[in-house]
Amino acid sequence: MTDVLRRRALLAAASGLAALAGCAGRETTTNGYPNRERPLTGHEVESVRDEDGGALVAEGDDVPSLSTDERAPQRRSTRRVLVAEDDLAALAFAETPPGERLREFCAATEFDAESVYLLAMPIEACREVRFRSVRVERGSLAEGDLQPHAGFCRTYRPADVDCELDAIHTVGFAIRMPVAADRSRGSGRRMAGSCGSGDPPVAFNASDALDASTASGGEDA
Amino acid sequence: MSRRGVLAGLATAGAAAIAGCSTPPLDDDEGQRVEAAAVPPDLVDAVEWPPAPFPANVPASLGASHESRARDLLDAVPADPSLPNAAVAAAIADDRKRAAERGAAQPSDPWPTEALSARRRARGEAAMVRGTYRAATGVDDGADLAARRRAVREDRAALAADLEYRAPSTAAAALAYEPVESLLAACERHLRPTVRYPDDPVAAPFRAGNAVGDVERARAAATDAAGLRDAFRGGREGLEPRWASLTAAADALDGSVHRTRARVRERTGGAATPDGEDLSGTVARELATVSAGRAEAAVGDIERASDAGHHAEAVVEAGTALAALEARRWAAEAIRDGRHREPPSESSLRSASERARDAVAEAVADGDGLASRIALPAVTSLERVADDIDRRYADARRTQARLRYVALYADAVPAATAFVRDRLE
Repeated sequence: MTDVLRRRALLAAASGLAALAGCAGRETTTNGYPNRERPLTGHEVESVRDEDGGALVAEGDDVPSLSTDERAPQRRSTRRVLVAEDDLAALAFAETPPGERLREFCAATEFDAESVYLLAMPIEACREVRFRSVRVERGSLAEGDLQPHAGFCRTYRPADVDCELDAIHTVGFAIRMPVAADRSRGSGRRMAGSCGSGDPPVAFNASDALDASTASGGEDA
Repeated sequence: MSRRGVLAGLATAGAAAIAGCSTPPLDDDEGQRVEAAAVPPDLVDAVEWPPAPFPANVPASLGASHESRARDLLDAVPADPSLPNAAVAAAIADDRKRAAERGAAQPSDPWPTEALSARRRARGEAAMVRGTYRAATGVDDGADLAARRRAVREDRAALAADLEYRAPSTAAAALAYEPVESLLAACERHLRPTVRYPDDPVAAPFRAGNAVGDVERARAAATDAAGLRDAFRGGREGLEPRWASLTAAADALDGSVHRTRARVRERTGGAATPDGEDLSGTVARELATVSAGRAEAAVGDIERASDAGHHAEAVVEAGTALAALEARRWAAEAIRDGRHREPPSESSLRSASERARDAVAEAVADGDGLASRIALPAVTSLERVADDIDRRYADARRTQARLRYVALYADAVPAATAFVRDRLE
């Protein structure tokens, strides 16, 4: 197994293990799980929702056109880590207000000190996705390799929002992180089926003033 | 490994996953040359429950009032709610249907106190659905709910403060007030504002419903606590308070349990299995594990009851802890004598099942309420074994060990009951 594949496998395993609540003690690998890392602070998030269900971003010159009654999850899903202007130039954004907002947010990134984790995904019209946290695998970051892992949850939109059962919308998140990197050989995403009211517990460590506060709140889309 | 062996391993894996990821599934079977028999699907018959220990009739009016309240709550929610958010509307319709089914079902619980608990759950669920619907339609019940929570809290506190364990005897007090204590505790649990009513209910209607459902269940528990107490008193005047004698008995029994545990540990060396022998993959190993685990859990139960000031519960849990400790002692002796090493055969499984059933029947034969209550863990264990067989989770070694354990525990019930009763006089 190559290093890249192995890291991807680890990331996949990490997101899988998170689902096994109560079995945390059975994880056998010690370090390197983004889940074990503290959530990153100092990041900014832009979140958008396309109620017409269009694709928001894609690799290449244009984005697929879609309507709300097409399921097509792959064509709405994107996951890219942008560590340089070139990464941004390789993408096409939808020429819609949400697509523009994502593009502008990404374009305003200082890639010598910052990076962007960009995600788009389909969601039922009556539900929303909330951003919870982003973690970065620090071991690989030290070698110039940015491997972010973002946590989301899914919940109902307010009861007074007018929406149909079968319609599909698209949501997009651009997470700007205050870290620079040469490359990205992996990324992860975790989606909780419901949004609990509280943030995950924070471990106390008096000698560790750095990162003492966790990212709080959430961005909805 | 044969197909049967693989299936047994998978069954163990399933059970282990359910039990909270306790043991790696296939380890126990590694290196085993001799296959265990498959567990026959008809191994354990329907379990016969002993007579209910609560020493009075549970009035039908208690369950009926939960039932009618649940119906009224659901009547206020349309079967097919119309809301702008179609997914929220569909989810409420589903919840309503489920709650209506649960409310209409006759509880199958063999003891009336347990059946009442099923009615309370159904009532809580109905309130949750109505609370969700009201929030989704823009009604803010936050202030009303806070007032209701406060009122239930005051009623519960008054009830608890008035609990003097009035009864004709200390033994009757233990059996009559154990469910009252447990209802007061349940009420307190449901009152804790763990799920906060949302500031913007229309944005979080399901959370609003959960908060409403909790308070409804707290109200139902408080009502039943008073109802059971009154049913037991039955209008009898001049019943003596048994608080002091019950507390003294609970303390003495708590001491006895700890002294007994120390003795049993001396005899067994504290370890679940004899030193120096590898018992992996044997019935002996499973029996050692189950008997040690149950004894420790039972001791934990009495400690928690004593700490919470639940004297009636502490008394009956002392009975179960003593029986569990005795069963553990017998299990350790049998293992030390070299028994339970052979892989289970169909006939050994059948004889273990028969012996377990006979031992439970014998333990509760004279219809004594205290014996019924102390025998309860044996009855529920037997039920769980039957359930696991139905769901095909049953592994032969574990099943045989659990059946052996049920028999040992049930054998200890008469003596443990007599011991507890002596302390109550």
